Amino acid sequence: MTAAGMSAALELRNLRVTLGTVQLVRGVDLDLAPGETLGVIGESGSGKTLTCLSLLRLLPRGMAAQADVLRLKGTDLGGLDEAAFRKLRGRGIAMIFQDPVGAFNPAKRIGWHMRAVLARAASDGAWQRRAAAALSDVGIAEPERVLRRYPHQLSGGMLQRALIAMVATLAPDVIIADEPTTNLDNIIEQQILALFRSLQQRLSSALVFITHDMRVAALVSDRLAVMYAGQIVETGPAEAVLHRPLHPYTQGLIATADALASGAAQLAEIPGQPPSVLDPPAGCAFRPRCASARAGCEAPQALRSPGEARQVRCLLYD
Amino acid sequence: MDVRALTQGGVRRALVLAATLIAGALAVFFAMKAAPGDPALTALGENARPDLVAAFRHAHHLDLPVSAQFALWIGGAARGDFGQSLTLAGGVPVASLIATRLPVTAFIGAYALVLAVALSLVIGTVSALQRGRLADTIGTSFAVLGVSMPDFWLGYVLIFFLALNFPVFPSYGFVSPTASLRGALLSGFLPALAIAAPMAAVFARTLRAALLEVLHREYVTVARSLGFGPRFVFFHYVMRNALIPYVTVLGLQVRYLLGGVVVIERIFGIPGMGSLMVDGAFGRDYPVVQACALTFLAIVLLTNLLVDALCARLDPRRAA
Repeated sequence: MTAAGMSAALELRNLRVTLGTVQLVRGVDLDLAPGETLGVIGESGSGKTLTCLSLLRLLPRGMAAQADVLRLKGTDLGGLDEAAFRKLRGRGIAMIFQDPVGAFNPAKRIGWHMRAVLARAASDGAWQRRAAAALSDVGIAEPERVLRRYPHQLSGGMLQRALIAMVATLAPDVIIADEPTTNLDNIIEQQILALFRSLQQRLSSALVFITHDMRVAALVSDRLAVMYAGQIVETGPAEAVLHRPLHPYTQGLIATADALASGAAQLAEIPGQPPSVLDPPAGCAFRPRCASARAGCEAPQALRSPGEARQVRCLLYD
Repeated sequence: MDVRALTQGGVRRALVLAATLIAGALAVFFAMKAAPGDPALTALGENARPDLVAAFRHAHHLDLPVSAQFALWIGGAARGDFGQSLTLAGGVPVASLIATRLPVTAFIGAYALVLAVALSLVIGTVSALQRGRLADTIGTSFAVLGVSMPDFWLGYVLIFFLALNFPVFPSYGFVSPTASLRGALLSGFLPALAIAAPMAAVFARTLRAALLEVLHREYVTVARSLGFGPRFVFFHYVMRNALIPYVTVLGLQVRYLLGGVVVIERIFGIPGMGSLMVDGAFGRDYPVVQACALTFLAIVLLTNLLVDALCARLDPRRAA
């Protein structure tokens, strides 16, 4: 893993996030190659967003993160103090948020935001021209006009483009996109997904794309990681996971997505509720909802490797 | 956005301002008429000769119908003539009384406002950033104390503990800022502090709550995720947006500031509008009280206008 680790854009081992005695993320590993897109799928509360916020050290007050290894392009980030880590935010790792409307300073114009980011990118020359070019690159027509607008005067789709333009200006090694299209309507969603693909080719950044939507994950991802109750339960190449899901939870997610897409009268829902973080079941967290549960599932499950580049946290694949 | 809309807004505001002033003038005038006591008897004594009383009433138009009295008064006020004082010997014009007293009150009021803003900015910011720690507990306790202390009581406490021990702060009297700025700042300090402390408490609590609210906004996390420095994020994102509710509350508190001035000027013997109004009320000096009340009303309306304009500048979502 050492040789691979040197070339990896991002390497994370055994991330744990806790709030007091409550374990919210329970040992997550992530590996990203430069230019690769990893789709992270899971329900709300599965720990997707917390995993990403802890990569940026921006967890909410009271939460604490620990990881055995966190490397960005081979550089260990574990020992960095806040001042040194801050310089990595935006340029090393950047994040695109779910709600573009809430992501902008409501008291300032778009131009002010672009100018602040351009100052970080250590660019010189007329900032207006560079800002307009950056907006133009993400498909915003009449960028000079948009620069003079306040955030409340623009649509969610336009703001998400502007935020992507800000992040793109910093040319980060890793971009984390946390459900960036969930609050947008369908047509805008398609445009933003296309924008992500072209952006990634231009910058050759690695992309972590968080979503609860299987269909979206399939469109953008090279690899998929499925999260459940603070753990990754399955990873593998996107095609393989989608067409031959291994974990019963992944199988349920895909069945639900298929049923939604085909407009089936009977929705193939996964029965039951995700477990409470306050009292997670011992062993496999999916056991109470799983049709294939059997003796042995009540013990903690390790990740198995049943096929090439695939991993699954399930007893069925011993 | 365009100039015409702006002008229309300005015209509408000016009309509302004028209407409020007239309504206020009516209320002040009839409140004074309804108050007990006869100005003629107060000025000339209970046992004054009836012909002298009648002459006094005639001289000050008190024998006219109330509506005619109001018309005379408001007509004069519109031209800056508030009539003659009923009590001061020789009948001093009220307008000249106000012209000498208003600058003193404006100085004390502005002094108190500056103190309240300075105190609250420090206490509110420290409390919010040190939330739950010792500094927050001290700041919040100060705020509760400040809200619960009446300003007149605080005035006496300050005289008792500070003025009597530190002669640089006189317990009584006032040096005009035109005579000596240093003297004015020193002699005005305790009265200004007595007025400022309760206001500072309210401002500090407002700022603390606003800062904590903004600190949890997503745009602050986004700003940090872009690698902006802590000072940049604090001033341009957190403080900048917390100032909007802060300035709104500031504007609302100006009327309490004026109420405080009236009381505190009496306690510290400051020859401002407050003492003038209180003396006028005791002497049944209608023209003086009416003119003072109308001036205070005008100050409140103008500051509200100013605060509205400031808020619109601070918050583009509110701009017309």
